[in-house]
Amino acid sequence: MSTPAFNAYRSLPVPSRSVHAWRYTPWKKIHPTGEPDVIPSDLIAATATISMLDGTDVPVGVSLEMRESVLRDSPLPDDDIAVAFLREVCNEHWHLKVESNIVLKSPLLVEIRAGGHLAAIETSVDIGAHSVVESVWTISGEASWFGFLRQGSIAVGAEYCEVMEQALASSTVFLRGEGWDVGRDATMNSCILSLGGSLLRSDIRSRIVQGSTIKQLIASYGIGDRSDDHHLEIDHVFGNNVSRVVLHSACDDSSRAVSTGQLRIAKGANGSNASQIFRNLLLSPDARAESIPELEVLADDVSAAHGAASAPIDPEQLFYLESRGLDPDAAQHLVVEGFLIAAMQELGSGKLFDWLRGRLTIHLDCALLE
Amino acid sequence: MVTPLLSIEDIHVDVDGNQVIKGLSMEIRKGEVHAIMGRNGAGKSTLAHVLMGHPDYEVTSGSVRFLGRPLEELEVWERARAGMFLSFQYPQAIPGVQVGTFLRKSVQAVRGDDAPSNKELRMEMKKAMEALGVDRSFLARYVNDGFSGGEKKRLEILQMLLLTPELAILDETDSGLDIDTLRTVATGINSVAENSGCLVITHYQRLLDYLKPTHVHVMIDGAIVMTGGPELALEVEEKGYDWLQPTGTTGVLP
Repeated sequence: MSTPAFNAYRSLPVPSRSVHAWRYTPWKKIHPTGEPDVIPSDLIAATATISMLDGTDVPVGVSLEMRESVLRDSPLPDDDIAVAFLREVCNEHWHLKVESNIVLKSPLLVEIRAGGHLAAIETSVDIGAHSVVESVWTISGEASWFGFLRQGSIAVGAEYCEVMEQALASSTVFLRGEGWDVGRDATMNSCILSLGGSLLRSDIRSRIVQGSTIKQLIASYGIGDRSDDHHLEIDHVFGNNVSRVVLHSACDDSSRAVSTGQLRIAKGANGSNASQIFRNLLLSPDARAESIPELEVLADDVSAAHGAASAPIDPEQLFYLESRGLDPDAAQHLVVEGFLIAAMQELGSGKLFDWLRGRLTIHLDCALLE
Repeated sequence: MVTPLLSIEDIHVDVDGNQVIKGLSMEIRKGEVHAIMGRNGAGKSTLAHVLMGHPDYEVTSGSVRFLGRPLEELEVWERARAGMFLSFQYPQAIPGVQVGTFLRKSVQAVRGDDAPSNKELRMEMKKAMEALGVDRSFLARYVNDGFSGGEKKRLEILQMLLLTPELAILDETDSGLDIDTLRTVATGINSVAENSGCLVITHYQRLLDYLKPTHVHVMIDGAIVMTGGPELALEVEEKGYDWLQPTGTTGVLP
């Protein structure tokens, strides 16, 4: 093959652990074959479908179409090995388009299913100017390896809110790259509920400009030897905007959570308000969590904060719940549920919040019965 | 003879190697309201936590029976399901867990097969919340997260009303309450006390103005030094605790 992406991938060195985004999950480990020189030819395209959450017809002005892969300007760097690899292996590109000035009464439902042995999909999201859109994304399937590349653009004045339930099979290796541009006076609120998979690496990068707001909320629950690695970057390219990152990871058994972040406020981007919070709840002596938030502030008049905390479950909380008749497992599950829900509470959409909370409750209730 | 709800015989309790309760005995029967008064550090809250089974407290000698069963056989949650309820002095916040969800799970756990249906529980909640002057929006808030002192105590009493305990232990439920809230909370306690036993731990006579204690105990330095009727609470309020400083024996008012 001789596509530009292929050439780009082949030309890139395997990143060392000194690279912030690659500190914990080496490329070799997340690569589908473990051999960085190999580009598998037997990948199956994942399927994507669109409907409305309330069962009504998808309205005019909203479409999900397959296109030839289109590379374009994205916050995801071309020279990142995972991005280049995903561009190489994604043969199909699904484009979700919402025209300008569309106000949806019900959330969109985008369902992505990764079947087969190795699967991948590239998607893009275009929310037109001044549109108001909510969406629910579900990612499921039993593929042993799934690559997911997504880039999105929220045009001027648009309001976009989405939740994503990632419920892949417990054995799936999941590689994700996402790049988002949030336009002037636009808002993007997103919440990811990360439940499935065995080894996961997500690199999510966003750019915001004047008047825009982005909230990136993530709740991750790990059991067994699951490893969930999130790298989150937000660039305040211009000022007078708001970014908020909240990541809560609950780690049980010998699972691991990794969160690296970078908030970058460009020179002259005054009036930026940025915060980044990583919290880890360690439910077992063998669970591990590493969190490294970073700030790069080149402007003078900004508000920027970051923080990270890891702690075991508070025994006084358990005592309180057990004193109300909950057995130790049920008490712990309730604390975990609350901890993960607390990551979602700034979502700003009651409908989507309730949907995601319902999914979390079902997942935890099922786990309690196992 | 009817088995007491709670029977404590000469218990000694250590916390971090220090003896905090130094030989305490009492019995509580259905329909009785026992008040324990005492200064800070007397061991009152320790007693409450020991009875509920807090793992940091070690009963080094003596015995406690709840409904005839040795308490040490029961885990914390088993004590709750057997009918013991502790209203905490400092209730824990559980961020992300809505009060409504928490109440439903607690009621199902404690009342088991006798738990009301969801519809019946909603009715019970409505009635109890009205009695306590609690707004419906309470149910959507996270448990004790950002609650005022009065709201926390109201939630404790709301739980007590819904869990219908055999024995309610109230650990300084009156602390930090304004007089109106105190009156409301006392009404809730009285409604439970009619059909159960109550152990009310307090610093002050104030709460006892609204409850009808059948027994009043004064606790000093990990032991009960005086037991009497409601008049003892009034006397303590008037004289303080110095006159009750132990001389080596536990007294009983004539």
